[in-house]
Amino acid sequence: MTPHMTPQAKVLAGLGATALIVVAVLLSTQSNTENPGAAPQTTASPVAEVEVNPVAAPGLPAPSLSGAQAVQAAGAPALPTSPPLPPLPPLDEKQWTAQVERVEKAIPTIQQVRALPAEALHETPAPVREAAEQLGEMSELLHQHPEKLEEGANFYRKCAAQTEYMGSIRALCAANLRNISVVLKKPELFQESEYPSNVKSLTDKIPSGW
Amino acid sequence: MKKTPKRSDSRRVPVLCAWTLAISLAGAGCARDEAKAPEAVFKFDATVPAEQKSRISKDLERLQTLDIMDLELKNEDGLDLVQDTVRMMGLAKMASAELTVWLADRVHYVIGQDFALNSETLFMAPRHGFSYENRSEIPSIEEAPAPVRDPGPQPAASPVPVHTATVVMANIGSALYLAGKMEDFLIGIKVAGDDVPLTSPRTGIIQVGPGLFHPSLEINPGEPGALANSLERLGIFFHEARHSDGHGKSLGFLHAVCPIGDYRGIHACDRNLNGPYTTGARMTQILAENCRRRGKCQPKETERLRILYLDSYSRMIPETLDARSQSDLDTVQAKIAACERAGAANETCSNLDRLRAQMTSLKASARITPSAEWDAVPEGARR
Repeated sequence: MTPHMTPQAKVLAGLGATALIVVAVLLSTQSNTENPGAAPQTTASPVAEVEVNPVAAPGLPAPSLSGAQAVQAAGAPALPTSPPLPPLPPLDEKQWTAQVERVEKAIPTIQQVRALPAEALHETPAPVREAAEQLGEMSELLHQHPEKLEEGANFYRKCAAQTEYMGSIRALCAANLRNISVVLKKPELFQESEYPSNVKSLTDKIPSGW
Repeated sequence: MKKTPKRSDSRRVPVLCAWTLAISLAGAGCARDEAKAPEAVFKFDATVPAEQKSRISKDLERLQTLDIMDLELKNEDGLDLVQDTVRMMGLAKMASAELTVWLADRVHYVIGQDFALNSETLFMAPRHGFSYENRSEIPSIEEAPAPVRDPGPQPAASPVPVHTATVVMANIGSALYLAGKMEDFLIGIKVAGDDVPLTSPRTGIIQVGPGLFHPSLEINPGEPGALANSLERLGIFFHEARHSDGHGKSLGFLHAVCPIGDYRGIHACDRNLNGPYTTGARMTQILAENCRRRGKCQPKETERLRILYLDSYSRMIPETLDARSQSDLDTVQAKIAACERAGAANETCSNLDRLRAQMTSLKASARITPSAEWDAVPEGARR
């Protein structure tokens, strides 16, 4: 800053130097580029394509433990919870494969994230959020269709092993693998030693319990 | 992470006084445990659109009625996460009233993205005997190095097209206070009908933008009113509010350039153990896991909130190497990364093992300073 700057200009220069701005990079579609005034369209949830109308189909088994029920089963005190999800018909392989493809397509590499403008990286970058949305749909799917947990574990294992993925994403996959391995009673599925220290320390942040 | 002596937020403004300051403009009482109307916690400037004000108010209402249970989570040192966060933030307990007061101590005004910082909104305030504390102590403002493209093929475009940037949230008050301190004149700001001299980072002026509410960035875009969306925004509020703390070298809890990891070289980390990224991460984690345990967040919402707090945690720098060692390490790491991408068969990478041994040796010989908690006691006082 120079002594000849007006006080206001000095303030603005000081603001530029402090870098306290948290900036998000918005997703936008081609239509937004054509019409800058329009709010960017959101990506429709792909699970909408596979979600079954939650009217219980007759004769189907009850769904596996919900998150809250699992916590209770683990010995935690009973909690007031929302009603358990209604039973759904089994998920067919095509729908499962489609969701896996959506997730894999959505997960960015570290290089792709780092290629974003620096100001887009102060907050969780938009591509990582988009991946989180798809990972969320997968988690929801697996909670609704426990018959897919083995395949879910395979997906999470592969995801956690990808060295080109962000540490946060690898850690979430590793934690899900760990928690599913307990449900499946297959502790050998999750080997902590397979992951670098930065992924392990983040994995530990996620509580146990599926 | 190495254990370091912990320092608590030792000088808490007496709670009753802080509460009185926070709500004096609304003329409410001083009962600490009663839920307060959101407008008694923050004062909204006219530049905040009505819809944004309504949603922030709803978020605060939800914070004021949260019941946080024992989550049985541990922090990196094996301590109970909730109790250690109580200590780290200087709370009496992890309860909604305490958390609301914590925010109210640090955020007093909310301005919109269109609030212009110019000669109409800023002025030189009369000092009335005011002088900056710790005048010669200015926090380090780290500058990110010029971006260096990693050698080798460039990545394909992100799977998600990116076109524009917008503000999510920013702590303007802390930045303005620092700017005034650096030039030794007292800045005043006209906000929400008040003429406010920036005598402390605790003046607490937060700018919000449409990015905070955009469906593409929400935890549950299909349900704008979902609790999970409020929890996400509250986590960001706690992050930004932390910038209102600190004095001298810790003033504003400024971010640092990430020396390693996914954000290496980017000005997007904290070189301390109790800064905005840690505060935001812990609060998001506590709120998210509490929501899950109470069955109030769907699995997909929990999953998305977890990515947010993991991302925040990944930005905490546990230790700092001396500058020379860090520079040498950066060079070796870049070479290793290039070789790994090119494949071991690349003849220029025949010495990959030697590079890795060199990196190990550099780390072993480096002077390492473990990160510690910074003193969060705020500088100055609000007028």
